[in-house]
Amino acid sequence: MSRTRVLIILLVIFISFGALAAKLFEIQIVNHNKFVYSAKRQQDKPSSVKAERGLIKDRDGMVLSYTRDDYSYYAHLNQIKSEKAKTKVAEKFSEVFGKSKKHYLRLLNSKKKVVCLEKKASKEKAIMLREFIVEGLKEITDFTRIYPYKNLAAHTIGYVDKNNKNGVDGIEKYFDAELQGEDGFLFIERDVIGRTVTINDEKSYPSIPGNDIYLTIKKNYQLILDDELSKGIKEYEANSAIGVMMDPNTGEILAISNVPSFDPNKYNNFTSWQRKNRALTDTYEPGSTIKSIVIAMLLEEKLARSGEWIDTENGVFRRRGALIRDTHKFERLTVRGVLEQSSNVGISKLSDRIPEDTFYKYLRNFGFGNKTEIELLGEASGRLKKPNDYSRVSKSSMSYGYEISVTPIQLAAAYAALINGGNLLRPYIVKKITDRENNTILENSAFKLRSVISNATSEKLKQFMVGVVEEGTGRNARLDDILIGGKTGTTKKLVDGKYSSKNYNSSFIGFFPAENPQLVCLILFDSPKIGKYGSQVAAPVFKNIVSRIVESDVQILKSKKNKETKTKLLDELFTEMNKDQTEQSLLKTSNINSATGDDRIAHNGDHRLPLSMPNLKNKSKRYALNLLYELGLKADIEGSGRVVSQSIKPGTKIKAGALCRIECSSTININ
Amino acid sequence: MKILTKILIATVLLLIVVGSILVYSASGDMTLFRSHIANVVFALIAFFVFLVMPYEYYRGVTKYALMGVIVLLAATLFIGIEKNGATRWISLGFFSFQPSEIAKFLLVIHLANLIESKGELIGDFKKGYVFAITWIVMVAFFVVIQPNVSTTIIITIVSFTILYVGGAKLKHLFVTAGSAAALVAIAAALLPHARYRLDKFLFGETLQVTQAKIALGSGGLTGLGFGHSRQSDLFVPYPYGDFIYSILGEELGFIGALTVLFLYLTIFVICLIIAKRSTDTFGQLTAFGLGFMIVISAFINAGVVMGVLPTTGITLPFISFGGTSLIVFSVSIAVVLNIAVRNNKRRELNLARA
Repeated sequence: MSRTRVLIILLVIFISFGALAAKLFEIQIVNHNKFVYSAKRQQDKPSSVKAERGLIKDRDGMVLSYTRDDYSYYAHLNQIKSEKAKTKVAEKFSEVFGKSKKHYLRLLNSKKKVVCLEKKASKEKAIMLREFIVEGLKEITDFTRIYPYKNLAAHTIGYVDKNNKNGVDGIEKYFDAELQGEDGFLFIERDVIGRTVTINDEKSYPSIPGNDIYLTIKKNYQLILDDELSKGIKEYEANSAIGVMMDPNTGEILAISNVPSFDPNKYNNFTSWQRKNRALTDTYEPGSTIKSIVIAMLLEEKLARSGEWIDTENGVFRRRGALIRDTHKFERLTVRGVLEQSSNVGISKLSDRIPEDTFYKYLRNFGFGNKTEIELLGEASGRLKKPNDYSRVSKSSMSYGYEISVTPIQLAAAYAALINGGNLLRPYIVKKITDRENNTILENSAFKLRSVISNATSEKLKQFMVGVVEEGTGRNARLDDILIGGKTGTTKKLVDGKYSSKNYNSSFIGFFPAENPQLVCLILFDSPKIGKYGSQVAAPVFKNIVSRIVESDVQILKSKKNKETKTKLLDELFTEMNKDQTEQSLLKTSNINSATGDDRIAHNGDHRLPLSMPNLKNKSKRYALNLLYELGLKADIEGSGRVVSQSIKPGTKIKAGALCRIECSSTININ
Repeated sequence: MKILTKILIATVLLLIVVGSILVYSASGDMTLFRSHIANVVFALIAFFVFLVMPYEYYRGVTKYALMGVIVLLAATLFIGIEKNGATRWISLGFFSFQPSEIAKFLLVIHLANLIESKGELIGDFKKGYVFAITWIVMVAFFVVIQPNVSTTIIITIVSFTILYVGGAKLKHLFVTAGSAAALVAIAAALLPHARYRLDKFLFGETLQVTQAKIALGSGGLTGLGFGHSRQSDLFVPYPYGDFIYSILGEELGFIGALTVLFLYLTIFVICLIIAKRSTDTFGQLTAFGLGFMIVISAFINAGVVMGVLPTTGITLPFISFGGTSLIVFSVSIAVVLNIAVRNNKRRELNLARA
């Protein structure tokens, strides 16, 4: 052994260790703080704890949307290498999920680094796998937004994206921030693979769950609306249908329905059209349903009287080059009759009395051409022409619902104003928002935008619209035991800029109980093939809806429903109406456009102008009363209900001022 | 002399105790700890066996023992257990071991034996030097193809150092060591994981090293205390193995880490003194070689953890988890102690005679 060489080696080793000691000093002493910082940063990695998304409930607290914790299983294949481990995993999963062992083995033998063995497994399955621990097999909590009633109110509720994180449409989107809550943080000391070691309680704070949203939607009504619209589509072979239900006293939306609908649980399977809340994104020409509003203007501005006669030209009238036709042809009709029989000729003539600015102002006031600002996205404002843009026939066309486009929600809001005493309310769909402890954070109530007509006009319009259902075009919506008011509407659809002769928008908008309206409901069918008129298609659907709602919800009717009550109410209503007419005429003749000199006030004759005494048998008391008045006869009426006898025989020539004795009975006499 | 052997035993025992605590602390795994304690017990038994076995007897058997281990190395390629892409283990059912660790130990003793028997001829390439080279190449070949580049490097360094100290010609050493270095470089370039490690060392830092440095650095002067490592079981992968020094530095701080380095130097220096006092070349070179193997392993291991050397799989003697390594190093110390004791006795005998 060479002594020199050993010493050289010793020297080399000493120098090497000296260098190591220096390096050690540099790492442990000089850069100590730097490494402590790095260590802290990685060891105390805060991890966000996802806040639970809030619930969406209906007005009575029925849960319409909630979040479910699901569990997904991932295999990290670099850690599950041996055949034994793979077989073990495959066997267990096959046992728990009932799929073949081969299926899982195929996944485990794939070339990928990480494979998903099961996605969104239920809690039950997760519990079965809780004791099954294999290195490289990871469980991840996955959230799924659940819509337990599927299509129900889908358009209102909306849906969340694939990661179940952000709202994409509807309330889920509009109130996304409210629903999301605040994510919490866990300061976890953890290792490289992400295993939790300890949790630092001082620095951690819990997540705050999202707030719960109570909609104004009433699940039961929504169900009835959805159901009846679907039935209607089948029965009348329509393309689609829209329904809006609103509380006219508050502006609360009770139901919005767009059929065909979609299932928000599987929103990807549906077209964007199906997912769209057409009740507020799509506009249409409202047709005759606008006439009530035009009549309201006339009465409010005292430009017409309800009993005033209008020459309806037997249903065909050419003016300023435009041909106006009525579906139901009459020689003449009272103003009320114009609405009841939905005469385009009549309303067109009447609209001439309204100055263009006034006409525009009223429509604007009723909310047309403006968004309702309901808490849903994508609302359209519709199209309301300004007087400057009117052509010679614009006002006339608009008076029967063309050259103006509205959304169903706008029309419902306008009708609510029409019947609630003249207050335009902002429609709203969120009743209240509460936090998880049930503290109310926000509560909506009726918000009056403006007064559009007087209470008196509103009362009159209500009566007129009851007349529409009892006597006029809305008869298909009539129920024996409930007083209903409403208006039909039918428009040719605009297809490629031209009015189609095949495709119609058939609508009915009604309210009940008419003596104290609790609900206004618009029904709109697109292109029904069987029956094109609102009166044939939408009105019967409305009727079915009302009878189902009344059946399921007794509270909606203040008084007990029965035929007698209704008949009595109806009689009272019409007696009052006729009384109006005997009073001093309120008509300001100066306001009448003299160019329409055909319009005259007549007191002799029915709406259909009979030349001789009509047969009143089985007519209603108010009808008889009204008719006798119109004929210039004095009436002496006994009893209530339907006419059973009359003192002037049918067919007799009428003498003005003669007395006609009438007996009525509530038991129906059929002969 | 007696005091030196006592210091050597105490140092080794201290390292083993610290190692056991760290293995437990770093793994947090009772099964692993039990297995380590079993290894310690096994190592102590082996230690006493080799302590009492006179080293002179090895002269006659080193050749056959090394041949046997070369056969085992060859066999490993066919019947060995694959772990992390390398076949280094032979399983005996209840116990598995790494033949390369044994080969490393046997090669040192055999080289010492060979150099002694060749005498002056070791300076002659054809008559002496080539025999030593042949053994080195044979062992290195079977180890490198496992593949196990790290152990190959250790074997090469230790072998050439023994040859150097044993009196080989510098010319021969430069030529052969140069070619060996070239071959190792080629091997490193051909083997993907070695190339990756080299690349990381030259142009960056592996995750392991980054985390090891964070562990060391956050230890500071005095450390976080035994069992308080936060990087272990966490960020340093397999912290109870080749990177245990980082946990040591984290828990015991600069003082602890430096002390451990000092302990390895102490072992080496004592081995050198024993070698120097040894009367025969075999004893001298064996004590030197085994001591050098321990200190160079410690140096490489600590160097890797500190990021001054490329990542290799060299264990930290007496501390790292790993049965074969622990047993082989314990046996090495036992052999060195035996050399000390035998020579002491011999000297006393000579003194008595005189």
